[in-house]
Amino acid sequence: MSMTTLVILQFIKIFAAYTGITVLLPAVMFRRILKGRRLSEQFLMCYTFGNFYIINIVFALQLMHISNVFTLLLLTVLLSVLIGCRVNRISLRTLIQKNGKIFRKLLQGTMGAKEAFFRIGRKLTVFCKKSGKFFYREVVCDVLQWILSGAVLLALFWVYGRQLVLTYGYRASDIPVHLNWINQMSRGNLFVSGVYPFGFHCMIYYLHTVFQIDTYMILCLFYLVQVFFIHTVFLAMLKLLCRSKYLPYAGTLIYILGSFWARQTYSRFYSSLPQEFGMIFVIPSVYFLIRFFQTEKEQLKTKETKIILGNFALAFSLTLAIHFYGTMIAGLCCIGIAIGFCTEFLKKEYFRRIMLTGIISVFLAVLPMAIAFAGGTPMQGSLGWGLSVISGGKKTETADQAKTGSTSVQNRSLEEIAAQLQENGADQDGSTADEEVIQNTTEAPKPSMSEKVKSVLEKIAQIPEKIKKTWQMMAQRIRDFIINAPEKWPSYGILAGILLLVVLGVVFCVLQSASYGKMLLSAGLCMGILTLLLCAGNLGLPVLMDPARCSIYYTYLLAAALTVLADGIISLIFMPKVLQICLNPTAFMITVGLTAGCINLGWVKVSDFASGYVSNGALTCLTNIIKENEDKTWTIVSANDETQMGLDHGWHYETITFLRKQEKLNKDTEIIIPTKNVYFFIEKIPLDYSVMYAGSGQSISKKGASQALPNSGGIGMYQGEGRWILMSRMYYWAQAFMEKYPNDMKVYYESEDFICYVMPQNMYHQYNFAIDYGYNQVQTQEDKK
Amino acid sequence: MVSKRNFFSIAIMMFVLLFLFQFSMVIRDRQNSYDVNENLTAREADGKNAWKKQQIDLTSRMETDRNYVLFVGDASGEMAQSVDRWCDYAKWNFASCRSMEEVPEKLENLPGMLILESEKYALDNNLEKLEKLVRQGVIIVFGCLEDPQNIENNEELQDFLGIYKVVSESTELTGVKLFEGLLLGGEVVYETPAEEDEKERQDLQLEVPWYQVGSGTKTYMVGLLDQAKLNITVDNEDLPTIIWRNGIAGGSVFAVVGDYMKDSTALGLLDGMVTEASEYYLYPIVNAQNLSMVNFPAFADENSEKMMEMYSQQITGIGRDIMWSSLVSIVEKGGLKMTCFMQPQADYQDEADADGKELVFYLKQMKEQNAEAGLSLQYKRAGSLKEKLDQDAEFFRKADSSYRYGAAFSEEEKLDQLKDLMNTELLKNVNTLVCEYTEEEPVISYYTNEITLQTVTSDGMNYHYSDDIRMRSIQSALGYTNAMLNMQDIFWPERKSDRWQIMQKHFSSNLLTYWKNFTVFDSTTLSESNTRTRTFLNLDFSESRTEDEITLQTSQAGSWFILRTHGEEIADVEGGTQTEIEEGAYLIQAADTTVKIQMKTAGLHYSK
Repeated sequence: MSMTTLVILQFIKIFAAYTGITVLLPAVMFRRILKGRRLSEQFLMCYTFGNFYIINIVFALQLMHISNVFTLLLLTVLLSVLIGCRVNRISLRTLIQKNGKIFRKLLQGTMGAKEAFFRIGRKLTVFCKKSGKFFYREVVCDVLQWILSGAVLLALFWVYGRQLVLTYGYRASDIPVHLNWINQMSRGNLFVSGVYPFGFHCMIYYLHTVFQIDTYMILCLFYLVQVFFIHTVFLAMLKLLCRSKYLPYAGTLIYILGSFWARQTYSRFYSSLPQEFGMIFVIPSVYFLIRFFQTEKEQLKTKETKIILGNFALAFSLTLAIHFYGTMIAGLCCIGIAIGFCTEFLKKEYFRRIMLTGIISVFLAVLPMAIAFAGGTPMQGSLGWGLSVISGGKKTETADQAKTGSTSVQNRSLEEIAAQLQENGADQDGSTADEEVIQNTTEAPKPSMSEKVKSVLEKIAQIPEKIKKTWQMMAQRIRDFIINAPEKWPSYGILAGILLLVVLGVVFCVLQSASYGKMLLSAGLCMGILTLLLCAGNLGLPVLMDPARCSIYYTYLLAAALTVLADGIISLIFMPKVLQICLNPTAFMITVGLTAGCINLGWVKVSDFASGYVSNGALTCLTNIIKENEDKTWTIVSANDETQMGLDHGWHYETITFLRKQEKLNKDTEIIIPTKNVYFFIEKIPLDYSVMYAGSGQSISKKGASQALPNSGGIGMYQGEGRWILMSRMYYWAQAFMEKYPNDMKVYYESEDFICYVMPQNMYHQYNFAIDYGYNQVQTQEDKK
Repeated sequence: MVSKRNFFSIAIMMFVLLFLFQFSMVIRDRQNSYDVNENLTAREADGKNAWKKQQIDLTSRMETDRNYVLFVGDASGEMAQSVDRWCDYAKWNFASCRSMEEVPEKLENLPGMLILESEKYALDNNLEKLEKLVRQGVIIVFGCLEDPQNIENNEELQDFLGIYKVVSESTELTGVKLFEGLLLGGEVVYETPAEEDEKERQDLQLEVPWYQVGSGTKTYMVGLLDQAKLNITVDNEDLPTIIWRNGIAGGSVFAVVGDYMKDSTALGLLDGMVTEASEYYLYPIVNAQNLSMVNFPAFADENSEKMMEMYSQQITGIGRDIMWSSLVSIVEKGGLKMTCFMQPQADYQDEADADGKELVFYLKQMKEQNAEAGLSLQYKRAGSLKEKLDQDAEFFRKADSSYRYGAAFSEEEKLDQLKDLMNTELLKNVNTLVCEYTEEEPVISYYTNEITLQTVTSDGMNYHYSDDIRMRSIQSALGYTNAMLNMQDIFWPERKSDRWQIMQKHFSSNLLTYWKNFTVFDSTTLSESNTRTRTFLNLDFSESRTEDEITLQTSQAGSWFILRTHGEEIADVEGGTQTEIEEGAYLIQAADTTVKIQMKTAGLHYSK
């Protein structure tokens, strides 16, 4: 079997497993509640609950230190049955009695296997019939929609899916950290590096433990599942908010395909990361809140409102349980929606309910972390930083950023680093200006009353100029972080679009379409607030989130906002009843036209299909090693990544440790690796590992091997030039060792950029791997003296 | 009352049953051509065509068509003799010299393997020459590291041998551990057993110098220590090393501590060393597993007083009622074929004469067991060997047996006398001789041009650890074994342990334990083995490799080979068949004179 086939099969398994537990299981559990709702809403409800359900099951079991495959399965099934019975009003006793009776009959032999199979077959037939009807209703009767859905899927696979089969490795350097945290969960250590939003980790851990898929494999492939749901949720929300049937597809397709979006707004989608996973739940939070405010006052006491509020609570708590940034964005959006629906928000009935729900949702998310914190687990570094930012400690943030500047580089993509540098530059400019102002103020003599009035008047006179400057600054910011175009007009267009949304919202409110109008108004306000967040540094506001990261959320919500804007415009145009029939055909034409235009003009994202962190060869070797060897009978000597990747199966030895131990070689130097097989991973063209240097992309060489071993800490030695030196040294070590053991040490795998050697060992009498390989210092006894 | 009808039915049924059971027995008995030796082949002078190695003269202009071994040391010594015999079997040429000065240095004249009798040939300037040779690809073997002082005081020699430290000039071992890879048969520990009656198995050299090897070496055999007694903790890697390899610039230096290279044990060790030093190694073997029951059955009730005292039966009764059934059971379990060397009489000067009435019984039984009958030429008392042969001939004539005996057992010391008697009436069909294990005779050879000599490799009753290492070594080199069970000691007991119960226990446990790793080789009778031995001794072969294909050219179709690789697997064999012996070792039968072996290309489970 080829790696490509394996990867595809594993992806299907992961996708099926994740969809099964987060969509299908809740769909079965809540079938009575879901009945009669639109498919998109059903999906949003199921998906939100499914994730909340699984994540909290893991939290509960982990906190009790009883988490394993059996307890996870047991609790999942047990709770599902209990909830399902309660929601669907099925008597548990009757259910048990009914099934018990069947089992008793089977055990007693009064019911044969044939009868049992017949019954199962009958149920399956009923299920198939229902599925057939569903398929007919949803697909056959609405072919155009499903063609567009297919186009969305195709676009997703074109932009993001191809990496799956072309680049097996992950694309973010912080994945080993998350892998370590998840691996530690398997060992009963939740929050191993301190309290942190572990929602993402819980989900991956669940998939790994229950479905027996290797964690490293999940982390390499889960990104596509994540991307799928990011866009599905996006589409589902638009389907629910828009009046036209087809414009949501246009928004989704443009968001997926458009190469005019700045690269850093989607580059992280190629990696399985908590931030992007948490991002999925921003949209359900927004949708359920809008849905709540759209509820008539008279219907607030109904069960339906509770369901909507419950879903909002779950979605909002998920953002907090997975990643704080998602919560920040969701929170700001909530403010925007609250302003948009201020007439409802300020009413006691709405206000009380929404505030209570908000508190509950925060409580739900914080509870597991609070329990762990109360149990003595300290906060993880970034969590402390996050809290300090929220509490307004900008200085702390800046200091912290400066302090962790060098190490945090590894946690970001190159685009982010570049964006960060740009941001710092902008910040510096801003701060310099501020300082100047402060200096001017301190140096100025005390003004008289007339001067004060004059000053105020001057300031008032400057307002139009300031607005203009701010307007320009915002456009510049959008050009820097959101739009990948040298022209200025798209940025102004976006700002104008946001303003237009607000105006359109007001127009609809005036035109007796208050609910829809307020939604448009909210969308405009949300985007306005997010624009402020994006420009916070330049406006002198606390920088809650660095613009590079903010831009990811901004673009995501901007695409949605622009879609509802377009929807608003055509709804306005076709508002008269006579014209309403043209609404959907026009929307369809716009959708097709925009997509075709995007493709025709070549405005389609181009993926680079490369991982700067793990080579395809390394992942191929690791997968084969796991397959071919018994667990714990092998060791991989490599740069640090395989430490966590193969943790459940074998051992790992750091390349730097291996080389340092024999750097000063004497007769007593000994390197024993006590496993049956020892594998050596060597990159012939070393990866940069996010640190580029003058010789980036060069091959290993004698020149590299003759350099001194890198002396940096952390993973510094595995980045940039350090990695080149280490790989060169390892290669020549391998050559020298092969000369000593020409028939024992073998090339296990070789490609243009990677080579793996294997050395089988006699476990009773192991080899000493410390040798003179020509680039280490050989010390005689006299030298030692 | 049973009715007539029922009675008749029952009688018919009983008759049918009786017929069904007896019919097969009758047929089997009638069809048993017990008087024909199906394994026998006509006596032919194949020895004339035996492959003969070239004795290379280092002083003259050397021309050799194949690899040769250069032995440095005493050419008449035990080690030289073992190496010389290995050359015959492995089809290598041979040369010897007394000093390193005589070793050729020209690249085209270099030997494939240079064996030093001891480390003293590597002292002084010789070491430099050896280093040059090993870098040129010559396999260097130190046949025996005799004097630890020579090594202790010579750091260059230590480095050359891969010795990290000479811990002690002499240390007491409790046993040795042989790792898998060098010899076939897997890993084995020869530690002195705790049971008193088993202790005698330990006969290995346990007083050895303690060499601790360093990086770049691969160890094949280590000594085991009684760490509790020595009050120290020694890592496995630091145990006294007995056989190892040091890798230098792609070349190999092997070192052996002890006398393992001074007898037939050297055969397998040398094949193992060549394998370890090469990418792969293909060499011819016999592929015959023999079991020789010497002096069984006996036909004269001799030593009756003692036998009656011990077994309450006479020799013939013991053989038929007690021993035969046990032997059949052991042989069936072990999957071996017997060759029973009959002894009509042991003492020709007593009054007990041989009685031929049991001969037919045994011949029939042997036929059913696929066994072969041979002649034992051993006796307790007789005027002469000729007289014994005459009397035995008379016995077989009287028994009216036309069975033609193809194999005969003789004591090694009487082999010389036997040459003139090979055309007597009794021995005229014999074309293979068997004698007990002795270093005087090669394991297999031509006794005369017409007759082969297949020596016993192990005594099934008195089996020691050195015997096991030797057995493994011979199996590795020749795929040949000849385990012997000599009943003389049972019929003429001298010690307390010379009782059938004890002997049978030893024999069965030895046979079923130590030989179980070699069941892949064919079980043969001595006549079958004779045919294979002739093929082996006569064959010449060559082999070559291009990428994944090994081409074997052999002069004898039907010959057998072993292919040893380092984990490489066979994909297909054209012109022959293959069976896996163990990981990295394959038994190849050349059905044709050209065999093409296709090796599997290294592939991963999940390919690119």
